[in-house]
Amino acid sequence: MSLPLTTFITGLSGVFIVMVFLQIMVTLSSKLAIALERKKETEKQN
Amino acid sequence: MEILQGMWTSMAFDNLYWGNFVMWGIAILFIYLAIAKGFEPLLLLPIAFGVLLANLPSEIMTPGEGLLWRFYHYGEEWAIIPPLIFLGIGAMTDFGPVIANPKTLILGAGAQGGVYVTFFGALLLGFNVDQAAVIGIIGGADGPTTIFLASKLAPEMMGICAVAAYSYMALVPVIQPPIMRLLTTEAQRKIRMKSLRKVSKLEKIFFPIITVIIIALVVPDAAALMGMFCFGNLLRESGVVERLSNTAQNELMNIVTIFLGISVGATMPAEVFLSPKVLGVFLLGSIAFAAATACGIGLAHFMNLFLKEKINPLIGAAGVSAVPMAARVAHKVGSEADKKNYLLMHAMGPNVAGVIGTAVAAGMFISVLK
Repeated sequence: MSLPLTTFITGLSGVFIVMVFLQIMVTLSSKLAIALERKKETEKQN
Repeated sequence: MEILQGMWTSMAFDNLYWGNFVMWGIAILFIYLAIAKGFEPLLLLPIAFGVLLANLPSEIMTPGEGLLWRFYHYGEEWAIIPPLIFLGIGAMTDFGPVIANPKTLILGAGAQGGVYVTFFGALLLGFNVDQAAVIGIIGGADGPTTIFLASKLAPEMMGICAVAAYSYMALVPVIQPPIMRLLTTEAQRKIRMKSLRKVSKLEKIFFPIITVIIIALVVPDAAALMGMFCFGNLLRESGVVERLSNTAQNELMNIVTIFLGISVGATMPAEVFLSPKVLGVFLLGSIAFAAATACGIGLAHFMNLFLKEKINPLIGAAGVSAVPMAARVAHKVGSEADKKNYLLMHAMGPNVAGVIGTAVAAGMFISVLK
């Protein structure tokens, strides 16, 4: 495969892989953060 | 008479040629645009003065000796200044809209399609692969990333591509709206999106940590830019180092902007700038912006095929990383169709995701081509 085509395929797929992976991890980390904060609130109330 | 002759030879008039006068004209035009028209003055003014200095017959850009050469060599060739700019941008960026709606990260990737359209355009115009990559990244609408990539792959393109990137960033409100209207129907522009939820402090603290880990693992060549970006964001969101956060956003940002602008301008002596290739770069730069806008909107349409809650396709255009101008343009075009449609915060999601996307695209270019 030619260098420009390799650059294109690797580059664009790399950008999408990072963003999809980031989307998943941000969603999960948000859930974790919300859960931690709820736990903290519950502990405060008790 | 001999004294006069001696004086004349010690002066620099003999070293001038017509190209220098043309570059003085360009420098003065840039100064005018910055002062009178307000086109990206923070950068255009230092760049313009750098152009002027580089085209005066002096040793200011002599390798190893000149003052501006030292700024350029240690700041840009060593790729120190662009990551410092990213530190400031990170400290200024609120990732709340992205965290509240992580789907917008994909839109930030979509707009990078324009980078690759332009990459092939540049190859067709006869630029080599490294130069084509640097020209392509102009479509990401991110000056520091363009400079960073140029320093790694094609230093000879740095000045021209930086000026093109910043020029087109200033022209976002002119370039984008016609493309946005062309690629969307009025009904699509009227789509209202649900208000974003409130994002907690802990979520905002998690974001830069997760982002830097993922990006440094997947694209190690983007680690310098994204490391500084995420560090700046953590300074902001931690809430415990306000002084550092303020310094990154203000004093440090201003200092590095001065060094960046003047030394980038100094990379444009007449013999480099006055070539037909420069016209090609500016032509391709406009194509890059248009293609990035179109790719972002196209991806938003595609995502709408699968989403229950439709997104307004205009926010896809904000995936170019001219923050916050591209988001403002998306909001403005949306509010023309429906005055009560507030798209600004929704568009900020893809807008800041575009900054990450462009840095990742640059890292991918470096990893393949270096």
